[in-house]
Amino acid sequence: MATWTWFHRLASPPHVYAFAQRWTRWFGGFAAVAMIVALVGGLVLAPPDYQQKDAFRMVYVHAPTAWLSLMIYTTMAVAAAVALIWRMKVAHAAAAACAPVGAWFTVVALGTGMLWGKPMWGAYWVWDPRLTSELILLFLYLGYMGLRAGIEDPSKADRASAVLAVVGVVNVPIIKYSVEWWNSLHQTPTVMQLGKPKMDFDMLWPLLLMFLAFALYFIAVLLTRLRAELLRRERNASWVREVVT
Amino acid sequence: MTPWFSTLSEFFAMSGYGKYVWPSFVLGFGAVLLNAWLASRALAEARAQARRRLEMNP
Amino acid sequence: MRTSAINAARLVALRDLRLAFRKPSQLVQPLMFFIIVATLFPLTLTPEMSRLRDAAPGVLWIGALLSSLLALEFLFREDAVDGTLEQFALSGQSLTWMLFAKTCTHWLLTGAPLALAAPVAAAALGVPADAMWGVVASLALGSFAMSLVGAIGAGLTLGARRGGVLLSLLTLPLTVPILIFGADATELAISGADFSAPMYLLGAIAVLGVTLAPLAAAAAVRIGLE
Repeated sequence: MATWTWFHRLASPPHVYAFAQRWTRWFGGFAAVAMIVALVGGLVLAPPDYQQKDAFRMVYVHAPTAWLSLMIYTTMAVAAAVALIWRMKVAHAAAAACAPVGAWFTVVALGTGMLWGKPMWGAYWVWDPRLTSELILLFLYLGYMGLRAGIEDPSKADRASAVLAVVGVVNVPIIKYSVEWWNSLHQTPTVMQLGKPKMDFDMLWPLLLMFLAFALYFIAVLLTRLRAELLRRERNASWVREVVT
Repeated sequence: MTPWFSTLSEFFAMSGYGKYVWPSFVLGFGAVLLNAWLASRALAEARAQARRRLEMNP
Repeated sequence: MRTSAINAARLVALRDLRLAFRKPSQLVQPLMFFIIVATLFPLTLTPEMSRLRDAAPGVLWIGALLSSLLALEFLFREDAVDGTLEQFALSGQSLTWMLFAKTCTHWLLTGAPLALAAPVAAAALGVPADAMWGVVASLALGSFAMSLVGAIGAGLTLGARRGGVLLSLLTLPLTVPILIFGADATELAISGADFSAPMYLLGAIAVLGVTLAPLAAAAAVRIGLE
């Protein structure tokens, strides 16, 4: 069936490699432009917030990275599920490629959250539900990468970490809910929202653009790492010869 | 489309929050650049290794 | 001769119980660990009963978690080493059901005794007597959920080096919801309030675990055995 050929092509390493090679620069280029425009919009053009003054500008780096850390984990889990169900090597490679990037952005989300928390709440770390969930997400990433590293056989490592990713992604909403529950029990009087302040359009459009920029950026990075993974995994295949010489 | 600040030092001060705002942007976009670099280095290494292998067994 | 999945599960459960009771000293070890850990907290915190009572839910649950992690090592390891697990996987019976049976017996042998022994540790932490029922109930349900979640980790780390530490690292984030709701239930029980809300949530997690965890554990074991 013609409609399924695109799916089958997705499973073919040389096809995916060629696609990645062709399109990475476009995703990367648009991401860079979008980031710069959004940065100008957020840092230079947007007016200060009434309550948070210019501290609110940290939303332009904190919110996209936090969203990205979660989105990458979901992507990793979807790739893992596809890999397990349809036994696609490319999907395993994609999941592996996601992990280090996702972990980095989780660290950034935590770091920028702490930097935002200090002026807003007076302390670098507070057991706010979002920060706490983000910390647990970091543990999930590290566990995934640890399991991959801990299993010698590459095929087993692929499949075991895929199961872990799927189990983890089911847990993420449960963890978020439980942490919010826990936090509401011990809620301090001050509003602990790492708030997006009420945003008018001048403040909002750079944020939305930044989200888009980060999404495009992630695709570019993923495609690059995916190419590296495919070359490594398929090193004995003939298509590799064509591609590197 | 005018900036919210009138002097450059206002821009860097960020109404007193500069020492939080700027490090967070450096952290965030530093990670962006770092991950881009790490990814392209991984690709370059993979290509170089593949080439070396082909040279060893042509 | 094919028998039903439930029958196979029942036989696996009976086997595990029989084997466990041949070495009763091993059964006591996780329990002793729990009691000792619970004792260490007053030594490192404070001998003041009122402050200990505040810390009691945390101490009891962390003790239960660590004890559970320790015991999880043995859930599959011996059977993996002597080839029994492989036989289970190859038997044509439902590995999911058999692993569920193993997890249940594991809980009967480690989590349930821990919950029943918890009043001893709790009393040492200044928990009043009328809260004990709540302590036992919450720990019983929570440790069951922990066994289910832990079985997934145990299956995944079968083929890994330094599997024990890795098992803990993998399992800990996944047990966070159990810890949160369980500690909340214990806390409410200690202060004499109605603790049914977190118990229901804990129950919901246990139900989710019962339906999904053995499946995931079976998938993990199959991968690990190849």
